[in-house]
Amino acid sequence: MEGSARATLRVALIGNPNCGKSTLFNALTGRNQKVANFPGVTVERVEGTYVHEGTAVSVLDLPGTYSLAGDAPDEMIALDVVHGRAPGVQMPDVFAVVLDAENIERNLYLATQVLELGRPTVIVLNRVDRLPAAGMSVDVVELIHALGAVVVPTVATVQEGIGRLRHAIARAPDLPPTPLRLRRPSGAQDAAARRYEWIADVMARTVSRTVRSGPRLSDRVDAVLLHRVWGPLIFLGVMALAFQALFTIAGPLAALLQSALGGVAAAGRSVLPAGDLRSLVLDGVLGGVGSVIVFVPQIALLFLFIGVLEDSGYLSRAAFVMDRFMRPLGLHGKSFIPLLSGYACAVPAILATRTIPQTRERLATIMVVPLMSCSARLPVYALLIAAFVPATTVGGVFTLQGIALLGMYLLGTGAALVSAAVFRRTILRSATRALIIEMPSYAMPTPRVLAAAVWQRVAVFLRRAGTVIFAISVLLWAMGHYPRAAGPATADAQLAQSTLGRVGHAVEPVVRPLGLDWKIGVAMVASFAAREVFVSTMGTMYAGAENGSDREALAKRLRNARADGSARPAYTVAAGMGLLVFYVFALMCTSTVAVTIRETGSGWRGVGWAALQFGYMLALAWGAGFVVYRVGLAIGLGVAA
Amino acid sequence: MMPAWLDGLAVAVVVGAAGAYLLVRATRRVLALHPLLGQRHAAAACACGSDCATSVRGRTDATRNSAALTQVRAGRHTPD
Repeated sequence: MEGSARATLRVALIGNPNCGKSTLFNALTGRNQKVANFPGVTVERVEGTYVHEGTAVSVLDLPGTYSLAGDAPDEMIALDVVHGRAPGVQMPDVFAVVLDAENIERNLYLATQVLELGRPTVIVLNRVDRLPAAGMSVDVVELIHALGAVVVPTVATVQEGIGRLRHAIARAPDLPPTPLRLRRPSGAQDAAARRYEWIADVMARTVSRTVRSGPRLSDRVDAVLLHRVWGPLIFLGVMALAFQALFTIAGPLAALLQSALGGVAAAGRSVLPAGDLRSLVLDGVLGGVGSVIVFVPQIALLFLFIGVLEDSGYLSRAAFVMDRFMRPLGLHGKSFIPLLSGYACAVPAILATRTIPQTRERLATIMVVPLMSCSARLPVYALLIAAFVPATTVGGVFTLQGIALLGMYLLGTGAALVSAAVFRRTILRSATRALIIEMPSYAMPTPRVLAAAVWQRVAVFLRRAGTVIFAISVLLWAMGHYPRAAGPATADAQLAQSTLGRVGHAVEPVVRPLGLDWKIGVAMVASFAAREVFVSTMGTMYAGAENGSDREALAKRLRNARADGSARPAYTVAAGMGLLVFYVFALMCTSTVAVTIRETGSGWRGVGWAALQFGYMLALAWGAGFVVYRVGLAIGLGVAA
Repeated sequence: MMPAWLDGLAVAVVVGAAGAYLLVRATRRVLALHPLLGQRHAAAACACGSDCATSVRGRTDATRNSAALTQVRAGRHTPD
């Protein structure tokens, strides 16, 4: 391999969590790896490449670790690469140890361990732009002498120093290997203490600080955000405003999209001759895919909100605030970040549990993460809330619809915490460790990074709409149109006797106790492929049924729907509420099932955990939906919205 | 006015393509799960599928990471 080493140079980025490795990775390779301002964003190694002076350089971005003796699964991935033990990964030619300049003393601990290995190493002093504000300055030349390695100052966010870093990486293998030998200034026995003594000696020679009087601004902000009373209240307030914004701001944008789709439908009707193809395009594709696409503004706003939380540095504070409530339930404070990530998607959230070192705490977190309402549930919530909850204003700022949406998210969160407590007191019993989490510096979210994160998720949503939801809509349309009714029949009668209608009637006994009919049953079965398919299925069925020519919003069509052959409302408010609660709890996501299998045991053991997860969530969903429906009937909600 | 046979043919093509797409997709998902059940010669794709935002990370080397984690859990990893 040595012979081909110069043709492709392998460099591994290693450093403490949240020191800017992934931002540096993106700056070096031009990739768009997820970055955020909290520790534990990268939990898998990621590879990218660039070419420098004719040499292809392969860059490996590793999960953060504080030392070469970490014990969390994500740290193990980094350590295995450093020690050349990672299956299928060759030992890197160069290590680039990334230091957060503001926290150089702590970061040097890992750096000295890597330098002791005697491998070609470049020290990257990142975020040097923050030093003046922190009242610090670093003598880089003295640091080079102390460490015996090349030190390159960088500001990865603005690509400063990246050219010099590429040059240093290319030259590193040519330098003679000089393993660092720590000179011990005192006779301390403990290895870590000796290492910190050596680092303190280096710090005294290389870092100068201006004396600061009084607490820093971030300390004063933390005093409020981490307050025992104000902290949780502020967190709740932030969430409430965000979910209200999903309705208030996204509503008009969604209406615009709806009207644009109406225009497309009108154009389609004028261009396509009457027949099955026109029905397929307008009722099947436009009715199905279109009903999902109108939720793009809400998805974008949700991810903008999550991005601001991540990049501002608030997420670690929120984890600290919530730890007080989570620890009595048996969850590690580090579980909070995967749980909050679950608002976006359960798949990365389950991967994020790799930062939790204790196996049983990690398993408990994996089991409950899908109860957090992911973005795929948002279109379902938004449709059902718009259909069954009035937009009455409350307190001047909020509406009942916004409060209902917040309620769904809180219900999922509450259920996750209670379920975790049950798991931790039964099959996953163990002591709960205390939370130690780094509080990153507050930072103004970068519009470019936010825009990239939002676009990435919107693109995923649109790709799903254009592929799987499109295909399912087409199939559902075909199932709803064939076999043909003998003789003339209304659209509703045709649907009832079609393949789709027969499937629906077969599952109706399961959903009837929830106050729902066979059409909802069909949509629920179809949404096992992906939750948003519930919306597209309803869009397809209600485009082809009662209001075939009416392009009014789907929510209104659901509200006005009548039960088969009667004037009774098809769906009462109580049934709508029960259905909402069903979707809060049900695990209808094949991707989540797959990643649970992978992360809980990679074998039949993993299949067992995934089956338990799917089963308990489905039972919880049906049971809670039934209770909500019956209680709704008892308090007089058995009426049309 | 489109002839009835052309109308029917167009619908059949679109519906058939959609069905084939879903069939291929489902097959790929099952194959992606294959290595997780301890069997050989399986696809090295990420089990979470290609429509996930984490797919860039997931596809990179999900299977190899999975093997690394298995080693960790089996106690074969000895930290310094």
